[in-house]
Amino acid sequence: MCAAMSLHVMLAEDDPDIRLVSRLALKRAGYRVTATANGRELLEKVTQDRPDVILLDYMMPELDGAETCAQLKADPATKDIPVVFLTAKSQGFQLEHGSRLGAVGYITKPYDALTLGAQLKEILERQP
Amino acid sequence: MTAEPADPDDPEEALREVRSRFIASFPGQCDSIAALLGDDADAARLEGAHFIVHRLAGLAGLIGFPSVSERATDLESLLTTGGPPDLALARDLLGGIRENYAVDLIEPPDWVESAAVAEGLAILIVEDDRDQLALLEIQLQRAGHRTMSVSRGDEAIAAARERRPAIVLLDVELPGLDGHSVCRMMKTDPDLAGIPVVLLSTRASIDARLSGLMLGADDYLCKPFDARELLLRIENLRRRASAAAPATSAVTPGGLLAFDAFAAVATAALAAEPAALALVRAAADRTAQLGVTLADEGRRRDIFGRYDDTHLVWLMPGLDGRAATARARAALELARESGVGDATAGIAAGAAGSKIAALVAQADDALTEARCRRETASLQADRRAAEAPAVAGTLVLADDDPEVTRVVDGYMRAAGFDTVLAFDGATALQAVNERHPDVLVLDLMMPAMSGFDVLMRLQALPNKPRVVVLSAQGREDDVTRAFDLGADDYVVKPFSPQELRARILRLMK
Repeated sequence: MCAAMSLHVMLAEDDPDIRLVSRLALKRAGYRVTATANGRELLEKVTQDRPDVILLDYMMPELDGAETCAQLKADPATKDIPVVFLTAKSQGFQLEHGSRLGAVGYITKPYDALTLGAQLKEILERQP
Repeated sequence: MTAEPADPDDPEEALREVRSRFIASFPGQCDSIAALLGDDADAARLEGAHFIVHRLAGLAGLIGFPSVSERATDLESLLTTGGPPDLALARDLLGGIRENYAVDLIEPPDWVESAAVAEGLAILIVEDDRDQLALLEIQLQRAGHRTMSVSRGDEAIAAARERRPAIVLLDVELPGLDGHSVCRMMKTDPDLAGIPVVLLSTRASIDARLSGLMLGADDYLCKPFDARELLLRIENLRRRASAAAPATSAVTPGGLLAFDAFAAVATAALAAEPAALALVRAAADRTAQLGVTLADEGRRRDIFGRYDDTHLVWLMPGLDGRAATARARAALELARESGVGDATAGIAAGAAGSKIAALVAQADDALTEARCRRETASLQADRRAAEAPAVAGTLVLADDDPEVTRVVDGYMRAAGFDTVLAFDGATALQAVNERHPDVLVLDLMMPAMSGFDVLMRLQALPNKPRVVVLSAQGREDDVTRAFDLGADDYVVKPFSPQELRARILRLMK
């Protein structure tokens, strides 16, 4: 696949197994993936290797998804990168909080390895 | 720490690996969630439960457990709606997670070639019929187990000694030496007695099953049997074996366990060997410091917990009452000299299989006596042991058919058991909560609350009894489901009380 075609996803997920499986699933769907273990690590890497989209687990130690998103949106260098949350369904207050923070979408559980890439694609295509 | 491993050559292989790790950790994760969702759940415990559930919901869906993920997501939503969650509902949802696990396990996604039950076990098959052997090998290997086999009874002992299988499947009719003799020899050999043995036989008669169990077999299957049942029984034996393993790793030296966690760990330790329990009383502001001091002095195997603000519990596996009293006295005197303050201990000696609640009650009596006599530590009065009637154990018998209950009740009381009767599920559950029986004999079809519902609710209890379910003939699916919900054994109606008793005694062993 041509490098210019493949979108670069940066993922922050604290659980090593979920991180591994999500990374493999996104890779298989044609994305280039950088996986990080928490919000802090993502913020460090995001300026070095600017991704096209950021996937954030909502509940993480160190720096949770909301906090990480807020910091991304506060920095002019990163504020335009779309952010998508991985979260439980019907957590209304989280979703609302997330969109106030500037997230463009949510992938809700149960997500499976075969559709994760497609769900992300759908969200990105909805963007103007 | 953040370096990712190089991408595996085969992503499906990686998925399978993560999946089998998940399968191995699933029962433990559920137990942790159940413990955190107990009635004493505070904000910190709920946060802990939420954290485990969050990861469970995320991972399960990704690796082919969609219904587990769905139910876990429901539970996660309940835990995050704000305000105190309905704990009973939360525990119900946890029961649903466990139930859905079996569904997802039996119907794995395409990339899982086989219905892997768990991380594979090494299984020794002793079978002379080559077709039967081939069938068993295929079924077990598909489920991820490793198999080895011998075809003669007289080769089985040497093979077990040499190759240390996790489980032995033993045909009864064998050349060289019959399966019953092999079983007896294994169970009387200290080196091999710990390996679970499942007898396989075409003889379905109750007498044959009974004699197998009497010889010490851990389970019995009649040919032809369903592969799923075999796999579930193997899984059950594995679970039972790991629960009985010494629980040293669950104890952090210097750390005190909350009482329910202590009771769970101590019950597992007591299932394996006798132990003494000390109830230690100290000033409220000194218990934590005293716990640290005692844990430093204690043996690595000792288990410490907090009973309440002024009492600690201390289990000493493998020690008799006298040795435990001497140890407690020395430790408390040392604590006093090092300025931790005055403390007093009452000690109760427990046999293998004793109930924690009973030991705590006895230790409390001894503690009262020690304080009256102004002694540092006192052993439970010997006369109590002498007066105590020889009770084989406590049973709750739950069946809505009064005829069955009456016959079983009469037989079990004659056999020395204390019995409590229940004619519906709700009463059975109440009896379990109040009487802490060793074994619950549970009919699956009952009014008010079915046996399945009872099993589901039992999962939330820290000290759930062993459960033998009564199943109607031809309802093997029910048995499979009951096993998944935590049942330990079953008998098919009509059954002989003698067989039921043999199965109960084996579970209490």
